[in-house]
Amino acid sequence: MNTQCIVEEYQVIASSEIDDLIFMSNPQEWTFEEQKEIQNKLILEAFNYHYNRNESYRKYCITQHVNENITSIDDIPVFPTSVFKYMKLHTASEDDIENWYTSSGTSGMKSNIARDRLSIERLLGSVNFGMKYVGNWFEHEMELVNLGPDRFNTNNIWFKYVMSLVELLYPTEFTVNNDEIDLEKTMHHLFRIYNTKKDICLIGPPYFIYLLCQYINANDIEFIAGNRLHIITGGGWKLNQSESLSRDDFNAMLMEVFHLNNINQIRDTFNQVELNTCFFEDEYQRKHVPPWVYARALDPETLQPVIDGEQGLLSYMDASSTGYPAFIVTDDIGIIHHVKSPDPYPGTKVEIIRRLNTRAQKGCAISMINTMKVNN
Amino acid sequence: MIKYVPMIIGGVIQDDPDNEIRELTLNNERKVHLPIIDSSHVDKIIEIKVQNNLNLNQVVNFLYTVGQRWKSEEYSRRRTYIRDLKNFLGYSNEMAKLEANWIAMLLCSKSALYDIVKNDLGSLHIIDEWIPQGDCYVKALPKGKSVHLLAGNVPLSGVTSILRAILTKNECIIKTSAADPFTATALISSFIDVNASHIITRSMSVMYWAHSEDISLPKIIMSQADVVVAWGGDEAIKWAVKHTPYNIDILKFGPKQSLSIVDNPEDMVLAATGVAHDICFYDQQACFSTQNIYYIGNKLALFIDELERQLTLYAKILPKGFQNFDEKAAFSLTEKECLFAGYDIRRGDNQSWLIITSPLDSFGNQPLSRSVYVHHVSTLSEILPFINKNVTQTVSVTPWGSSFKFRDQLAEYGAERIVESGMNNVFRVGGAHDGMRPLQHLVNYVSQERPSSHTTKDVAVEIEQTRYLQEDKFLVFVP
Repeated sequence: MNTQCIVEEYQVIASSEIDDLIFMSNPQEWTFEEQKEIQNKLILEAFNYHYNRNESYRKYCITQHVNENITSIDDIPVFPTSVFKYMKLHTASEDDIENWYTSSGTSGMKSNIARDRLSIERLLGSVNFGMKYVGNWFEHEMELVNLGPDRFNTNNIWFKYVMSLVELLYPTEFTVNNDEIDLEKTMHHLFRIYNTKKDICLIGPPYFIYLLCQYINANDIEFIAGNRLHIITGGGWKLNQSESLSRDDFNAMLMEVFHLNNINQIRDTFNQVELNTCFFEDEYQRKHVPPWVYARALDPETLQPVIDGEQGLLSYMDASSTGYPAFIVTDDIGIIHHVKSPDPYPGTKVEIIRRLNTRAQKGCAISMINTMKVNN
Repeated sequence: MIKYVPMIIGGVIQDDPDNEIRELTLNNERKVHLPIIDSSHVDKIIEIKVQNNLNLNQVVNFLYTVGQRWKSEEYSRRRTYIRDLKNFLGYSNEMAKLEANWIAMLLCSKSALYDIVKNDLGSLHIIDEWIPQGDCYVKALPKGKSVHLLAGNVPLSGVTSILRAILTKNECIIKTSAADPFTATALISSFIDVNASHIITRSMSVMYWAHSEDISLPKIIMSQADVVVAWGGDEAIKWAVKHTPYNIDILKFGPKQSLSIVDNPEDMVLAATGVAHDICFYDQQACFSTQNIYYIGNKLALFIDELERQLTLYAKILPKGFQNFDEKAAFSLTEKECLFAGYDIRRGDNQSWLIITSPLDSFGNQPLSRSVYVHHVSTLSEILPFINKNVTQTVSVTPWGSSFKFRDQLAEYGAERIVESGMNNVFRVGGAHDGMRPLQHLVNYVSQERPSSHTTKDVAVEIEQTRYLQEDKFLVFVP
């Protein structure tokens, strides 16, 4: 795997340190303080990388009176993810862009994100890194069933693509085609792997997992997974929000339907198309932010960080992206917790509460700007 | 203790202690309790049969009497209403007081109430008596039960909706908004204060239900409607369409967008003051609120300087209401988004206003919190693509004289109101509302047609149809 990328011969070689971190390290390797140190260094490097190569981002920094001589990563300007809906913002040259990825788009316009090979590989690395929270398996010890399409049929929709990447880590069966789940095939493979003595990992969006549970119940299928099955969800409930279950109810359903031994066999993941890293849950179902991402909750008015544990507008700086500047402030409201020793999983934990809900329409005034120019 | 907003049915406050209660969380996280509709409420609503034999004078006099109460700053109902708008809806003191003042103004303007009827229905008397029109006598009868699905962003819209129904002698079943459970209840309570047994009072019911909950009982209420008046955003209008019987008219006051045109003004202060007013009223959440300004002329910088001054003034004389987390965030994100695009930004203290100077094809969101996009154009033709049928409501123009040269094209492209900047919230008597003359949709016109012996302008003999058929003489009488 090529983990080094010489962008221009006289400029910085994208740090191998970050690649060592993403590809080789273990989530429980560092203390909180060590992670902060690594984070500071990598985020500053990433800032310099994009500041010097991305004119649009540099101009934005200048409007904020920020130049490359910053000393604190808190001074790095973040911008709204909505920018990706309106302009093609990329640091990698057009020739180096492997693909443009879009959000699944629950409503309105979609983000378009340019990724070069290095960014994509690092994303895969983040999935590999996150899987270590779930467990450690050799390739022959685990097989996956993915309630999603394979990566050649994701239509560049980001969350489907991210979920499909697991096939690069372990043998995988895909049981969704053209957005239709083959539930019979899914069960067939779950039983088949079960009979091989390998561990099983079932992956999919929560709604599809929910549909699978309904199928199992409706057909009186008994699948006694014990400790052999791990269920990893991602992508949220999206358009099926009205049928969504609370996390506790979802956990209870899975425990009952699959006869799981322990609730920690269920993990959720978080990613969004504007972020180049996937966040996994630890055994206590807490989502962790890896050290190459700086996550903050911001005050909605000042956009300054709020104190640990307080609700804010979530913002990320992701040093793993070379394709585009991943210094973003999102439409998500959440809480950041800093977890320190003696907790077995020191680092930054993120809790996503909900999306902002006032950017479309209030009362009888239309506020979406894209409704304005109809005649053209 | 959590405030309780009662349900009113047939002008009677329902105070059954066993009534199930729902807790409603308002924009500023304050909570109120509202009764949940049960089948006995629905039965009562269906049973209401009020014989409204009032004439227009009696209707207007009753409203005027109520209005006189609202005019008094000592009226306890008014004081409670102002307090509720401040405490629960997050209105500034000035905004809340202004709302109560406008309720008084609407109710006390007797001449305007008469003129609304005259202008909308074409006659002051047609709702009281048979009026000779053409070869008929015509009378406008009330539709019957008018169901009002109110929006919460502009309390006065609810008052207007109710007044129109009262002027046309309709019963009102008023469903309040989760964003404002107070205004309709306060208004009808003031009717009760004045005369609990008055026909108009007994024709009024106010309640709340949530669209997202079990709506089997609201559906029964909707099935009783003789006309539905729906206010609000897309979802509210869709709900109304879905649940209104197919043969019943719906007056839709749905989502709209409004703008201002500043045409090279000589008096920059006057122009900027007017536009600032049109931005600030209802914190830009009304359909008539200016969201975009199109400036024609060569003194844009001067105009923006002056607009900044006037928006700052409005922040003092009509301070912005409470902004929740989401509204503050939307404001901040819009500002950053526009900075990224390279647009020129000016921002008031504490997010009191935002001026974004941007090209015509600018991208960006509109957080609707006194934030405005200013576009520099050369001619009206550059603005016209942004005027759209069924989307653009109010175009405010300054100086007023320019509206005469723009009005034909603005109307042709779909503008529904053309007003002087600074007047967007004053719906002048005689004006249209969302392309309609609303009172016409609240009455049934009935015609008593004159007999065969009545000769017409075109036919000077009696209409003896059988004889014409027998003698095949029809064509003889064709003029």
